[in-house]
Amino acid sequence: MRIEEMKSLWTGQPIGVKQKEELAGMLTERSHPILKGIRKQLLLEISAWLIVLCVYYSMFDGEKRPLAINMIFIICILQAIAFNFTGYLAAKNLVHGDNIITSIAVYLEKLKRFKWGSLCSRIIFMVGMLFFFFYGVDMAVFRTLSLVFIGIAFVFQLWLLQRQWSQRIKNLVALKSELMNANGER
Amino acid sequence: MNEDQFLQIVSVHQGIIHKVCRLYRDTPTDREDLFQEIVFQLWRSIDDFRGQSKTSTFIYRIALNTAIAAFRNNRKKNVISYVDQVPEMPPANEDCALADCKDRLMAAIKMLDEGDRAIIALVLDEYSYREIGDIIGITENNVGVKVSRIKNKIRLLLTNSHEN
Repeated sequence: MRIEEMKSLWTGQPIGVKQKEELAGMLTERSHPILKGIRKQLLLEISAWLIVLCVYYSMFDGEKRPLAINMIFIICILQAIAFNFTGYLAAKNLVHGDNIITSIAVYLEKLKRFKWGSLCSRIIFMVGMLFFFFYGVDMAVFRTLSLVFIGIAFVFQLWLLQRQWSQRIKNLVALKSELMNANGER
Repeated sequence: MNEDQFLQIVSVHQGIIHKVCRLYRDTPTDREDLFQEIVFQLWRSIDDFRGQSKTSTFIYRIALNTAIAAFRNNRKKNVISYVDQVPEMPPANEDCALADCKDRLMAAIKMLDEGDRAIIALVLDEYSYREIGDIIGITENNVGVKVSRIKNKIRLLLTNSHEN
């Protein structure tokens, strides 16, 4: 098939037509399909953590622990909420720079920072939780084993998280080099 | 630029967005989500558009950029798609052949890497190598080399699909 034939087939592709009113509805964050999902999840998480913060003092023996330990518990939860919120803000901006390669490069840097931010936030959260719940507890054999088990589960969760981020970053790095390379090799 | 002017521009050039959605997403739901994402990103970027390039070039750049960078749901791909309208009369043989050719071309393009898809879409929409270079961020020469390689790839894919 010659390129002129391809062009005529390409321009003859059927397309749907959207009315202005429908397009106007797409300009707000409220109707955005991805942001809507993230927002819903964020709201659920914030509500759940606010409930935990309201009841932990009596339910999880916060009153029997020193103020510093209570502060660590509260800060761990608040930083996790704050980090998720910055993720929501970052998901709004996908386009940076005057061309696609520059835009991908900026986006990649953002994703790399986010990967480390996400891992650090998770580590702070988990260590803070362990610190709070295991503070002053008599470490008998069963409790030590529980701590080891929780630690392993935590490390596995971190590994999954970093793998998820790394895969996304790897795909974008490959795409960027494919675009930059004249032969289109990855 | 106010909302009304923006909507007028998007309305006129929405064909570009539809094409990009078809190129980069497989299911109607994913295409609809991407369409919305592109319009949202265009609205956020429109103040950066200073008229140095054609409006359609700007829309193509943002649309391709969004399609490549946007988060995508890993939905199952074996989805049955329904056409909106069923024609009253069966299409003539010629129409069938034409529709078949269009489908085969689209299928072949979708088998390319994401970067190649962006370049061939721009070529087929008659953008010059210089404009394509500006959109992607590479030199005209680089575009030329890539285009000739992509054309060969598509020809090969079309030949293979015809033989099958």
